[in-house]
Amino acid sequence: MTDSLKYVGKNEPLHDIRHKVTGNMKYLGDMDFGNILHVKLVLSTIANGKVIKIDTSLADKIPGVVKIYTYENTPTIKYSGSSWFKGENTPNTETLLTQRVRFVGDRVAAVVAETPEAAKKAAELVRVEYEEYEPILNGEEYLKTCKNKLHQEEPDYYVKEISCGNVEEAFEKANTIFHDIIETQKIHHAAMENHVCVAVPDFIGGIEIYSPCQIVYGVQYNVAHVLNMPLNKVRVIKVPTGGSFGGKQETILEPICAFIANDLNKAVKLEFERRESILATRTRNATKGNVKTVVDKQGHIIARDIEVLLDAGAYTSGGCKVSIALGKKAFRLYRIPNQRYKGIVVNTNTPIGGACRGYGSPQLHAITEISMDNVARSIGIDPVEFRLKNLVHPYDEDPTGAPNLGNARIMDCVEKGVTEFRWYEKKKNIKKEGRYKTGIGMACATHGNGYYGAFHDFTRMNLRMLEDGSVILETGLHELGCGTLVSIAQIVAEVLDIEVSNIHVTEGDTKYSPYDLGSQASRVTYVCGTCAKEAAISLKKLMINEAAKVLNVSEDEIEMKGGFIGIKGDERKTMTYGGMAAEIQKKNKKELYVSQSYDSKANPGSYAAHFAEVIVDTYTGLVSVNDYLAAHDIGRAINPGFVEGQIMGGVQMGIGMALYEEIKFDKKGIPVNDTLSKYHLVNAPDMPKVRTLLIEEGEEYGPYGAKSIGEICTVPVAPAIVNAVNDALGTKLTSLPITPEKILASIRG
Amino acid sequence: MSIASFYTPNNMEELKQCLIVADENTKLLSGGTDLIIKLRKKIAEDVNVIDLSALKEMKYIIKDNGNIRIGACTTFSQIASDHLINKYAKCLSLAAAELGSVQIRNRATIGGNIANASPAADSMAPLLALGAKILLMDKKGNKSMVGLESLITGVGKTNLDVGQIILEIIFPIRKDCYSYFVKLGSRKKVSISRLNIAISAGYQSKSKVFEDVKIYVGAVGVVPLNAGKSALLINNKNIDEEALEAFSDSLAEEVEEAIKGRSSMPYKREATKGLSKDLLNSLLTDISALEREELYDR
Repeated sequence: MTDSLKYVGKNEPLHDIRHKVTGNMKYLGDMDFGNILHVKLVLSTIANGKVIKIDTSLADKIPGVVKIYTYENTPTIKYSGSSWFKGENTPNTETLLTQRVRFVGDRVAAVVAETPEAAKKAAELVRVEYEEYEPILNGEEYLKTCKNKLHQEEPDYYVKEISCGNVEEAFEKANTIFHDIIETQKIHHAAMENHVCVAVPDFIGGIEIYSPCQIVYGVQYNVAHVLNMPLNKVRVIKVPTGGSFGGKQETILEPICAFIANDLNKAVKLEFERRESILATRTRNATKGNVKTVVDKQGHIIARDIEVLLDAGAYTSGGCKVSIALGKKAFRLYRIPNQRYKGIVVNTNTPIGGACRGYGSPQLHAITEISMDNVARSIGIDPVEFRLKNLVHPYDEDPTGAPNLGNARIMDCVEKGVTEFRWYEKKKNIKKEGRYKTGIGMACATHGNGYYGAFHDFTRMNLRMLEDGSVILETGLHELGCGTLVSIAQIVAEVLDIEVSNIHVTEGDTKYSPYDLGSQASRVTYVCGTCAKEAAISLKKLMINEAAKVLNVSEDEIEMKGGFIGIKGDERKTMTYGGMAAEIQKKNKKELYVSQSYDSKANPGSYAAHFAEVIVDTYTGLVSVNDYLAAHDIGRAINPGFVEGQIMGGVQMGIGMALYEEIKFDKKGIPVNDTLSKYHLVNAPDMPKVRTLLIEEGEEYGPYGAKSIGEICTVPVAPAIVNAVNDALGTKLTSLPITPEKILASIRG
Repeated sequence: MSIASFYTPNNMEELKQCLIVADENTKLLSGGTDLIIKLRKKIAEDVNVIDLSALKEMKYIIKDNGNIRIGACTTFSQIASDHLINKYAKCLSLAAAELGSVQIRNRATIGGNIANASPAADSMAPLLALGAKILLMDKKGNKSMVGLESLITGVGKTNLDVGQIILEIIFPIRKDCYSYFVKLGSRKKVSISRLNIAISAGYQSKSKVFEDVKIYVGAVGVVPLNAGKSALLINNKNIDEEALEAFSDSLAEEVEEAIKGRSSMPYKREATKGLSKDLLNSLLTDISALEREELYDR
């Protein structure tokens, strides 16, 4: 792309970075709401059963306790935390509190007290007696029994198929069918900030909810539904977010918090500890994938059949949507004429699954990309060559009828990545003898850009220029820490030609913000960024129009440049943007204000190829990632620093999925690693230096050509690492995470 | 647990006054990297806390009469950077340097590590290999010396009486004695031991053989395993490839025996083989480096 851009493509810092690094940032847990009550939830200690008695007599005696809620004195209306708009067809299975407990962490009671200590103390003293049932701890167990229904009215088994061509015919003709079974695990998001919510009655019949959420209008919808209140009485205010990764996308603490505040007519706060965030929010759905592949003699994939059993956890929540989103990606990476995806979603007695960075993509790609390497090895072809023979080309159609793939530059990612990583050189030189064995692996991935083709995807923004030349962009956006607000400001700055620091972008507040779908589906830069650009173009047009009236010239004589506006070639009449905004107010009685709607026009794929070199200690099974390259088809990096930041974080999460992270349970369904001292993330000493390679070839409807990065950067990581370990050891490890135990066991046979 | 009372004695006299009134609910706070987490977990119980952080008299590392003496409130950062420990107790120095994170090492104390009685405690195997003894003081101020092994009775359990405190850790300096420590966690740094091994042995540079070998394996039982059988295999022997193999197989067997029936056994058995080779190879490398240094010094 020719680069004449002044603000886009530059490394502007995060707007709040000074506050963050100096510790001055106020997160919701730090904010002072004065005389606020504190809520502590009593969570189920058993995985499957029914409450037969709750004794609160000891808890009631704790000084400061205000009220204790159970299923007996709370509404039983059902909802789904994953729903985000009216009319969404997602099964409602959750209630505020429950008698029928379905996992360790299910909400049994809520204690309200004047201090957090009193609430916690009293919650410990609530005595709950259960009738216990046999728990179902994974999807396969469910399929075997199918009897022990977890939900009465709603089914807890869903099947959805997507297909193209004729898989059965292709399989009948095939000589060899390659079959892999690959498992992915339940994962905790591990945002630094635990889940937290504050609800404050406004004393005129409404309620204000403060939440570090991803979808203010989704929270508003759910709370209004549960409390049976009109939408306009529920105000949701997005507060600074200390990490989310999808974990705060669904409505989780807000309904119970709002209900209690409303019931007591008092402000209340509910702040989780780490154990509660691990168990009682959302997790990455565990999956088990069966992949069958047929390949011709030249190495072209003729047909593929993918069946994925997805463990939704105890409540379906977004499980069905995750299963579909997961399956769709299988049709958008390789040219496979005959393919079928079958997604089966079941409930188990484990923590609820849901949105987690990639929304099914990391699971699908772990399944298919590990299988790709196994197939490549079986037919004796280099994994890079195998992929290059099959990858999609720019502007290919999606064979299932979903939106066109757009400027899909995955071939560039692979070809340039191979050179940058020195794939073939490494392949020749790697050490396979002795204690420490080296291996290389790679994986490709695709992810979407918004909801176009699936749900209505649109947004609105209001842009206003003030009399000092500063600009306010009113939005329903959610800054999650990745640089959304500054990226959007850079886009506006580029159109208006003003400094980024002069632009203030507001975040979601349902009382004032224009509507937005929220920070989900990798849509924000691609969809909202374009809306911001259109708004800026509209404002510029308006300003030129009004300035022409002020200066009494025609519009095409007006020039806007570097913060100054005036008549082309006449410097005497030039004034600052602010000066002109004031003149327009005085003389034209007009405000420089536009309200811009934008609905997404396409849903191209974002693409990535990741390359990993690992060293495996065959004595201990420990893996160290020695070299890592992430090549991304980004369209255009609005802020390359932010893009690289996203990639490094995505790689960190992906290595965790490959090697370490898993929420584990004992036979009774009791979690065995519900703290960060036992649930291990990849820490700094274990992180490789992550090299990045950005392919910037532009995308038609993206702002300045930009496409998504936040989710896709974690998608190919786990399979790239697993493939590298399998290359080092000559093993066929397919059950994630590949822990030292599994590695040693597979070496020893 | 909620804190019902909190005292911070400034000297040994004040400490004694605090200990006299100690009861079953009294907790000694020495660093708090484990205790504070426990206190936050269950807050419905009330506890009385005696905070030892102001007791400068309990933070020291000295060489005295052929012994090394370490005050119970000495932090692992101090131990890891101390030249006496590095010189006479390399295994303890290494264990201290790898324990937890920088923040934990700056707070956690050796006395606290022992009293916390975690099977994964990093200081236990090195101290046992060094033949450490513990100086205790009871609530009346009477002092007594006990062996380290006898102090720990179960996971998180000791036979310390109410109001009894660990004052000091003592071990003898042995001539021509070398030691080493290796650890395996589930990641490289900031990790709880899944397995650790400490060795101490006399070494004659002329004959190039070990004598009086002591090996302890941590995180395979309530207290570290005394791997006497394997230690004998390298006692008074030339350490060649064959001896190394026999040693690592033997140590793996001892570990297997110790944790038979546990799900972690197959992995720990295999990992012991690798770790035991690391232990001996590193020790030998260390010894030859030290010998070169000595030659250079002359």
